[in-house]
Amino acid sequence: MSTPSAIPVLTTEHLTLRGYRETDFYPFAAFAASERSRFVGGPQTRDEAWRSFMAAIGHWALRGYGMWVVEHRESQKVVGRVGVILNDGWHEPELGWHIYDGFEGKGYAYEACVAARRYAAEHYDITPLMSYIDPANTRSIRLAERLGCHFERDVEVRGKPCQLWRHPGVEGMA
Amino acid sequence: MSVTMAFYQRPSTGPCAALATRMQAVVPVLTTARLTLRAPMIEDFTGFAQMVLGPRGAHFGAPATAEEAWAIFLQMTGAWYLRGHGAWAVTLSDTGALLGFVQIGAEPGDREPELGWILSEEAEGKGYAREAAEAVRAQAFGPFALPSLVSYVDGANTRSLALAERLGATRDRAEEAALAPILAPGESLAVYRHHPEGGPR
Repeated sequence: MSTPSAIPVLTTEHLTLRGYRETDFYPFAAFAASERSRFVGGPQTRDEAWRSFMAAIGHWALRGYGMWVVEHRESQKVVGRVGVILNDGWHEPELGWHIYDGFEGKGYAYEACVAARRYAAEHYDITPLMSYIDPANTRSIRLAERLGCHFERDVEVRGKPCQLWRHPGVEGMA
Repeated sequence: MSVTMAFYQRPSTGPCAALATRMQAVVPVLTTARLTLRAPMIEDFTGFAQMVLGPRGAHFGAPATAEEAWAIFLQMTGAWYLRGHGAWAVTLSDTGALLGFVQIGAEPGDREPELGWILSEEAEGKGYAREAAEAVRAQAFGPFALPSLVSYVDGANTRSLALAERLGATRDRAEEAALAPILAPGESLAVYRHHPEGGPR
C-alpha cells in the first residue's frame, strides 16, 4: 500500500524514521501489552493494539503528520515510535516517544526526537511543540530536560493529571 | 448558535494538509444518484461521534466514550493503508452535507471483510443507506475484487436487518453457529452474506 511512500522518511546517524508496514505490528503489540506502556494508555490487548496501530496510520491520513516508526538501520530492528500527535482532547500537537523494551538507554529516543521536532518545525511550521509527561515517568522527564524542554504547567488530559513540557523553538533546538 | 471548534477538531493547513490530501487520494470517490462517498476528513469527526455514541453505533465498534469514538475514527481511516479498504464519509452531492458513513471494515475478530453502515438520525428513512451500501458493495466485488463480504447485524437492530434483506444479502446460518460461542450472554447476531448483483447466485 502507499503508506510508506506518502509518509516522509527521516534519516539520523543510527536511525530511520519511516511509515508503517504490517510487520511493524508485532513489536508494536508487544510494547502495547507490556507494563511499560502504562504511561501511554496501555497495557492493551492484542485487539486493542491492532486498533491503535491502524489509528496511528489514520492519524497521518487525517492530519498529514503523526508518529513515525523508528528503525535501527544497521540491525533493521524497530526500536519504537516517535512523532507528532494531536488526539481528541489534546490541547495542541504533542511530540511523543515510545521506545520498546531492550532499546532504552542507547540515546535512540533523543536522536529520533531531535530529528522529528526539527522536521515538524521546518516543514510543518508546528513549533514550539509540547510533550505530555506522566509525573511518575522519571525517564521521560530526564529526556525532556536533555531535549532542552522546560516544565510549563500541570494539565489534565482525558481526566488524568499530567505535566506539559515545552520544547524550545527552532533557535534553541539541538 | 456559533460553536467554537476545539483545536483538535480543526483541519491541518499548509504542507500537512497537502500530505493528508495525498494520502486521502487512496480512497476512491464513489458517486450515486444522490450521494458522494469520499475519504473521511477531520471535520467529519464531530458528526461521526454524534452518530456512533448511541444505540446505532453497532457497525462501528459501539464506542461508549468520545475517546473510543476517536480511536475508531482514526482506525477506520488507517485501515485503507493496511487492508486496501476502509470507511467512506457519505455526503449529499447537492449540499455536501454529511449523512453518515459506510465501511468495509477490518475489526479485530472479523473473519472476513465486513460491510457496515451508519446514518445520522435526520438522514434515516430516505433510502440513503441502501444507496450508499450498494455503491460500496459494487466497489468491493468489482475494483477491490474481495472474495467475500458480510454484515454482522445485531438481532435486535430491526432497521439494519431490514436493510440487509433489501440489499439481497442472505443469512449465513453456518457462520452464525460458528460465531455463537464468542457472543455475550443474551446477544444475538445475524450474519448476512452479500452477493455481487444483490441477490444470491
